[in-house]
Amino acid sequence: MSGISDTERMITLKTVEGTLFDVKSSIAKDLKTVQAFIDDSDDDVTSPIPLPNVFTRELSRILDYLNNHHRFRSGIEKADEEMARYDAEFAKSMSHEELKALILAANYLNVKDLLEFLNQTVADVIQNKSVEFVRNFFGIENDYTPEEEEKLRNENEWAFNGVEQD
Amino acid sequence: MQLHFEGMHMAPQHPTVALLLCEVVMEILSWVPAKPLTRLKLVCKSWNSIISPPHFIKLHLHRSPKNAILLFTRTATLTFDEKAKWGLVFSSIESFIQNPSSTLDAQENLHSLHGQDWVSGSCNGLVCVAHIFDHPNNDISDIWFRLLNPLTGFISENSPYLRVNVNNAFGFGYDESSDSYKVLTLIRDSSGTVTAQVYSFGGSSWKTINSFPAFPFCVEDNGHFIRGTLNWLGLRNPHGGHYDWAAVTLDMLMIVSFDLKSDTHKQILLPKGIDEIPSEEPTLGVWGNSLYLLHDYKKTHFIAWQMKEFGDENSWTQLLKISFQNLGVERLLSVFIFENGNIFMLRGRHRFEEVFYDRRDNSVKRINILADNSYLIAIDYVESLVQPC
Repeated sequence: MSGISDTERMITLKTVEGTLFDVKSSIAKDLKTVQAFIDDSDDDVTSPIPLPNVFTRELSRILDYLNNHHRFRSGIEKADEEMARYDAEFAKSMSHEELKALILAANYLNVKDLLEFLNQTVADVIQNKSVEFVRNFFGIENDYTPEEEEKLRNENEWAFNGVEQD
Repeated sequence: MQLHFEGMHMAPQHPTVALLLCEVVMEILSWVPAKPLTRLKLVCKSWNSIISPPHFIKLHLHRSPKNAILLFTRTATLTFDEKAKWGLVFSSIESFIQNPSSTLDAQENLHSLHGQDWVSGSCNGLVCVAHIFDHPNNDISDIWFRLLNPLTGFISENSPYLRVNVNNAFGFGYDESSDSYKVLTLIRDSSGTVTAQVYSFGGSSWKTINSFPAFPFCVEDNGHFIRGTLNWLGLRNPHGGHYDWAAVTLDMLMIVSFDLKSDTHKQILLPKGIDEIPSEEPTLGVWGNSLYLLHDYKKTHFIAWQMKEFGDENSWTQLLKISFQNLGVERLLSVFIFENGNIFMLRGRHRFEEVFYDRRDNSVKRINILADNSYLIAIDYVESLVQPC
């Protein structure tokens, strides 16, 4: 990369597959887990920092998101609209599996704003779906007996009013 | 793969996509609206134990959208008696403003409220309902309160009852420090002494506050809750209670702010820009988490003040001054404020007419709503699953 100021240090991150990513320290700050690691190190971090749980596809998306958000924030007036458009496209571009994988990576790296956005995105996806759909989405087994399920449904009848059964 | 960096490395985790961490699930669920969220209790037992506890309900409340209102309707009756019926609509502020009539048409009968009930306020998704029994032939009332979550149908136990002089006013609020919901009743006795009684839901008795410095003009005026305090506009003692407005002077007006954490009161000064006594009683209110003071000017204009920073008396800001004629209203009645002081709803000149005024483009809309004989009560509301003991 060219045109980097001398004061902007670069951090190198290494994914599970061994891919190296050069990241500006200002962006690395948003990866709170990485930042904590840097802060805890006695000396300057020069070798690539290995990320044992993060795959190339996810890190690439996360850095893409952060780079764009930094750009929006430091720039022009209408940034809010552009940012919202970017966010919508970003969410739409992923399958449910990719969304979940990204949440895991963002959670591990502790990328607060992105994580909140992803959580809200999943919340939007699941709120109008059936209980069975949600179980499949998260890979969860139903551990209620039919009687327990019936009882729970009756206790919360108000929430099922006007909603079709699965 | 070597994890080698001066003896330190980032702690690994088992990368499982299928099974998201509990903490991540909790965060996701905190963004799901209350009704679908409750259905998701059926996903599995561990989800039920994530959704049910109070600390999650608090997190969920915190994230619940703040743009909702409750619209109560109550059939008007000549006396405050059993025959009145209540209706309720949940709405977003936006939907109501865009289409008030059709929003109200969707109302459903509210069977949990009866003729002798009165709505005293709402907080954190709970509505406080006062039940008032006026003794015939004397000036005594028996009052008790209960909490209702209109979304889940939860109804609390009744508070112990208060037997008081009919000169009373109520306020409902939340004290964060003790995580408790409190109701305050102001009582003015025949000698002009004003006292207050506080009840904390879940507790067994009312606590007496021996002196209260003022009494609201209008006993239907519920205390206005903001930032842990209940606020009333009234006349300082001994002028409150029965009064002749023509004899009232500015210095008699007082805003009292009662702190629910410390059970103490203090005065909030009126805006400095009010230099003459209005022709009619002014109105104090809290809408969209701001305190407002509304009054007329020489019987011809409507003036609205907003306290931009609650507690800072220098932050009173005049938002508008508009003639009643331009608005098409006779007086200030049933005001409701939306969108941070940009949209005002007031009772119009004609029966069942509401006027919507938008300060931003100076537009006035007149809508006929509630073709039958009803009161409309609008309250700021936030959906929640809160269910205090």
